[in-house]
Amino acid sequence: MLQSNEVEEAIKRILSHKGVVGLVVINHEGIPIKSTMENALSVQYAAQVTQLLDKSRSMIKELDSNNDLTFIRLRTKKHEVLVCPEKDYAMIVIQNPTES
Amino acid sequence: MENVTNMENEEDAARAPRPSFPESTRDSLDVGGVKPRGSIGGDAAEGEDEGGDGGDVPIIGGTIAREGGGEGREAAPKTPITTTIHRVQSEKFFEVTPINFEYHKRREEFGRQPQFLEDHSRIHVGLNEIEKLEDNYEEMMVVEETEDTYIDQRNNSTNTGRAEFKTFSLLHTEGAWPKEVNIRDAELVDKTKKKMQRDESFLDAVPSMAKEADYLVRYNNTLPLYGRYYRKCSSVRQRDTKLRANVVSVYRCPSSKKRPVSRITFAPESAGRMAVAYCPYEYDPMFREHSNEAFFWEVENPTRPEGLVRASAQIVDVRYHPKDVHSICGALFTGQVATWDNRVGPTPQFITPYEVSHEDVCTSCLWINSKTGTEFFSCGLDGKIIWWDERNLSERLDFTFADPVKGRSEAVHALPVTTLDYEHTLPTKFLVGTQFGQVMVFMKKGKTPLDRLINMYKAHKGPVRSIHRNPVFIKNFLSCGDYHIRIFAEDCRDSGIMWTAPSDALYTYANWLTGRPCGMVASRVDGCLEFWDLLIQGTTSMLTTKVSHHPLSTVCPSDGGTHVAAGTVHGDIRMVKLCESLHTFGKPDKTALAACFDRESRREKYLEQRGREIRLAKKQKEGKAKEKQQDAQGAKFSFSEHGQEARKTGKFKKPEPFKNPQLRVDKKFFVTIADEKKKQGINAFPDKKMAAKAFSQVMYKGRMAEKKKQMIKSNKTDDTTLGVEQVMSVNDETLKQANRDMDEVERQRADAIARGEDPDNVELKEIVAPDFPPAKEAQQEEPPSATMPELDTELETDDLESGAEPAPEPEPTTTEVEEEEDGGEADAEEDDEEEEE
Repeated sequence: MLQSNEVEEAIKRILSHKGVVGLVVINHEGIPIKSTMENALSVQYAAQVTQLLDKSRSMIKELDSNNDLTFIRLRTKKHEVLVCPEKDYAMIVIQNPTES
Repeated sequence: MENVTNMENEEDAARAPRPSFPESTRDSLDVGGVKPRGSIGGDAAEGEDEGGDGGDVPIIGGTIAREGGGEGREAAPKTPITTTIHRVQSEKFFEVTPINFEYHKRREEFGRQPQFLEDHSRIHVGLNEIEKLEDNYEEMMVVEETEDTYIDQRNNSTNTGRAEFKTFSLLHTEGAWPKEVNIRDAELVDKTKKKMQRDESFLDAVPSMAKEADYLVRYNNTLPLYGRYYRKCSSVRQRDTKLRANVVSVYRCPSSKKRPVSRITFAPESAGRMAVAYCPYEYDPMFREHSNEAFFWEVENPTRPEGLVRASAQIVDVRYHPKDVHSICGALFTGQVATWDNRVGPTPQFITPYEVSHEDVCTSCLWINSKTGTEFFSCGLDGKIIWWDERNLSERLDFTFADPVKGRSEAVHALPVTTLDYEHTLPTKFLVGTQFGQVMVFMKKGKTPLDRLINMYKAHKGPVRSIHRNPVFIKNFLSCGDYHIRIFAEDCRDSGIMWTAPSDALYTYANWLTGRPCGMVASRVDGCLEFWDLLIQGTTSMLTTKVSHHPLSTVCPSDGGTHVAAGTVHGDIRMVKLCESLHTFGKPDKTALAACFDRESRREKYLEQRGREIRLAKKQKEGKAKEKQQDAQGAKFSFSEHGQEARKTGKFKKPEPFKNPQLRVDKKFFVTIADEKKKQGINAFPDKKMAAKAFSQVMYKGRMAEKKKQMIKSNKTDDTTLGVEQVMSVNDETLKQANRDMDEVERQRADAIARGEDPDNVELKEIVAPDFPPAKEAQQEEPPSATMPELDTELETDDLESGAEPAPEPEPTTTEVEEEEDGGEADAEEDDEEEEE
């Protein structure tokens, strides 16, 4: 269970940063496996992000097969959504970046 | 038989209009109208029909077929009518008592098909054509074509491969859970989730993802990438940095002989006119052929001059009266001064007689502020400044000499004056620029007639081309000469407060811009106009535009400041339009300019003061030593405030040939040459042959040594100089020649001594002088000698500054003397250095 500890630690670290609202880890099917927010919202995020991920990945791959998606940053009026895909999973972080 | 007879009448009866039926007894009944009953062969029906009607149907026109057989169709009027049994009309209808029935049938009708249908179309009305009405009608063109703008198309339907589309929305409430998991079952869901969390790949993936996300999150926190910046910044107005000065019109001199423009002045009160004089005071071999006219141009009309004035000699300067556009005064080449009235004619009203006029070219004349408004003054190359009254030009009101020494006003020492400046707002003083580069400030009326000079500056190396006071800050004025424009402040008495870096070409005129008092415009010999701005750029000109292919001889800003008139040596004047920024001057600019002048004059004053202090200290120490030397020299000294000038001018005489080794200019020149030679040998000079020749005699060193010797001997007098009045410009050729001449003199002197004669009385053999331009021109070329006359005591400076010979120990005192002198004259020296470099 060291690994799970690691996971917990990693997530905790991210949450500790300023402005982070929530975090969701989803699998390739779009199921929110780990989430710090309420279920309904996480599920929504999961659903939307999965589609976005697929679309973006296919686009990048199509343009250049050697290329690959590293992360997606969606800046919105209220906050910023960061999506980091990795093999079969993806981590979604919602942050309120500090404004000057 | 009555019937038969009736029959005969039948036809006729038929034609006639029928009276009403019941009345007439119808013996014969016609077929058409009335049909008796009981007519055979089909008539019966007809008859019945018609008879039944009881109406009378008139038959118009042609006859009708009346057959018994109902041949209504046939129009056979002439066919015999078969008789039928007619009943007499008078008989009542219901009473039918036929006697006999005769059934008739024509033979031709036999064998015909019986007609059971009663489709007998009858012409009830037949209207024939009326020929004469035909004209009222036109045959209609019946077009049976159709026209359409559309392309012929055909609507065809085919079957294509079917693509089924179905739109539906996806509500993804829960992810793709495995089938067995029932999402509503919270427990099961949790369990599955936990299981998934233990998945290997998950545990691997999360830390790396977390690292990435971590980085981004921190990135976001440190660097606010997105945001509205510069929200509060207002739009910065772009300064129109591009300066433009464009030639808008060219005023060409109408005379065929092109004369250079010597002076342009604009009429006062923006009358839109300019007065142009076409004769510079410099020597011009063609000048006798030029006409003696000065033109007035209307600024709007560049095609030809509006008016002119004429005199017996060429007109060097022509000026409008500041209050009266029609009064004009002019300076003539012969030294005379003339006045005109514009309205009267081109010939002068008055002209001064030769006796009272200038003895040389009269270079300028200006109107003065006076009660009567008729006074003006003029200056000339003879060094005199004369005041005149317009009403009586046969005598002078007043005169003075441009003598650079204060307290002395002698014709002998007067310097030729090239320019004059007078400012109406400061009527008591005026400025004078000489041909040798001095700028003098004079008082109009001094306590004594000799005490007019307030100050003298050594401004330039050549003739002062123009002097003008700043229109806003009258205490400051500019002077324009060789390659510099200098700005002076009246308070700073030793030198100018600012000056421009040496320009590429000689200046011929400079003036403040009327629209922008911190700006100056200068005309150059290469045809360019230079615009300077003290507030924006002090080091270089703001704008240098080539206005003409010929050298420009003068420039004058217009009254409004928007234009500048530049005159060329070819006789045409170019009106240059200035861009906006060159004639706008705002309030902050004014204060800035004041600050600028203030700052510079203060700097100057500090330097002056420091120099004075040092000088004073040294003087007090070395007073005695100096006096000794001075007594030996026999020169006068005065330790005044202006001690320097006094000392310097003590030995000032007519222009001395540049060979005079006491001249600082040459000394500098020689010094640098010597240095170069030492450092690089002969390679220092581009023309090696010449240089080799020149230095083969080790002339330079010899000269230096000689100077020293002379110093000790103290027998240097004017006689030892060659007495060559002509001034040569400094260049290798003349230098060489001069030195050759010097050698010649020395040789002769040596000979004389050898012979036992007095060397000073030796008659100098004729030395062939090289081809020099005539005296007049020579005088006007740059005679550096005249500007910096120095005393013998300054010989030591040569040694000092050459650096080659360090100040010898036994002469510490003199060295210090020189030092403080240098200190005081730092500015003037800088000029020299600038010039040399």
